[in-house]
Amino acid sequence: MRSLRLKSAILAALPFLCGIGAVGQSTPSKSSVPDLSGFWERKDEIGSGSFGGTLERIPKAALKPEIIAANREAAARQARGEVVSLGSKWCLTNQYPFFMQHSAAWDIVQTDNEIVQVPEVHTFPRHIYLDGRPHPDAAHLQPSVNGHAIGHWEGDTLVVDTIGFAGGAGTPGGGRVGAKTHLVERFRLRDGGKVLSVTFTWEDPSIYLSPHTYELTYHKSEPGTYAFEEYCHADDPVQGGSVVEPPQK
Amino acid sequence: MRFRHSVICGSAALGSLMLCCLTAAAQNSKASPSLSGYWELHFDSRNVPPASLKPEVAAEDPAIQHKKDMTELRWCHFMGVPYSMESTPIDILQNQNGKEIIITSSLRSPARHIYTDGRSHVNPDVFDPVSNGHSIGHWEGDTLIVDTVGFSEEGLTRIPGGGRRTTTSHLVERYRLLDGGKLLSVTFTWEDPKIFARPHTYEFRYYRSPKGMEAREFDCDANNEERAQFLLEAPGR
Repeated sequence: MRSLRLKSAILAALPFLCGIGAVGQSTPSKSSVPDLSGFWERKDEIGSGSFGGTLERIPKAALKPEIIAANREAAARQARGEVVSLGSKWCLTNQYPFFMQHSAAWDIVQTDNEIVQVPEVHTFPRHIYLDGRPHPDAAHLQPSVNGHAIGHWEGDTLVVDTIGFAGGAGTPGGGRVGAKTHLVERFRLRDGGKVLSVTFTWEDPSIYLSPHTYELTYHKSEPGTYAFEEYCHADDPVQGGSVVEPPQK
Repeated sequence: MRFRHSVICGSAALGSLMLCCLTAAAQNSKASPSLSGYWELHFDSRNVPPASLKPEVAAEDPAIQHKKDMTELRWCHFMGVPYSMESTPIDILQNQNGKEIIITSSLRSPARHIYTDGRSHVNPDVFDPVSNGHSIGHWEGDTLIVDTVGFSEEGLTRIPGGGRRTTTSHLVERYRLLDGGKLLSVTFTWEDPKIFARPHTYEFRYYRSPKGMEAREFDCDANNEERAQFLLEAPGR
């Protein structure tokens, strides 16, 4: 009887093992790394009432005094009714890390050599090269809204190193992104793959007194989720009127 | 004992079920050719015959389409399909789990999402038309078949060979590697009862980019008056 049970157990397991083997043999990718692919979205996990509220909980960046002064001046101008950004009026391209803190879902597509993050908001897809290439040298680095990103796996964690930002964006916690800013991110699955944790560490001696680190978490969207195209039409009077420039003196 | 036997039988059934699922996944993606990588159009890449247009479309004033195109460009609207497939290079990423393929370009235009997980098109009653449409794909041997509906009329709608994309357009593409993977043949077949007298088919052959190719970002600034003036005053063809 024992032998029969053992045979039955082997027979039972055989299709499963064969199935795994069949896929493993023909799989062109490294099956050992976690599968980050799919649509991810933020949720208000702390009951703050808004996505802005969740960002408010992020530790304040340790900024250089001149950056603090510039931020205060911009806030004061805004309080006086001056326009400090025409981004929404002209539908300017959203710079990284904007889409990572937006409510819209974004999609990860993953291969051995490259991972692409595809946001719905109007910006470019973010390409993360995993093929071992270095960053371009400074003379050949083209500034871009997403920067130049290279990644590698450290166990179950994807570590992404980015330089070459066009500059001009802000970060949660009051930080800024400049042309010399360096970002290191650590992507790691949690809760059996239902949650993706991304830890951001920003460094820039012209902006920060010390590295600015915070974590955002994303929840896996339901199977069957599909992408929207979040368009922005600057020629739409409603959009164009989203920022009203005060009379110039 | 009966319980143990049930467990074993259950395990057998589960194992068989998983085999079916895994085999299906393998057929759909793992055993399929990898199209991933950067692909470029060269001077000899296009094989585009003239489209057979409906008479009323053939009689349209081309200046109207030209003006629409320039206005879309001037305001940095999403360009969409088929224009994004004429951008070079395009980056194709075939997700390692076999459930999705994306195609990105250097344009400030959304990436194409091609769902290869067996889903159907979204119900048109709830789907908002978009410049790339809604794409689903499956493999027939070594050929990826992509079926797209749900287009909007946003962006650059002109179709190579004649005609334009509308909300009633239906596109079927066939992707197949040639020459040991150095070339990618994509055959486009457009159907649209408002535009074409019969299906319009053309082929692009993309060359695989050298290793180390990277994505670019060609940004667009609607607030650039000089650019706006240039586009809106550009002579039609």
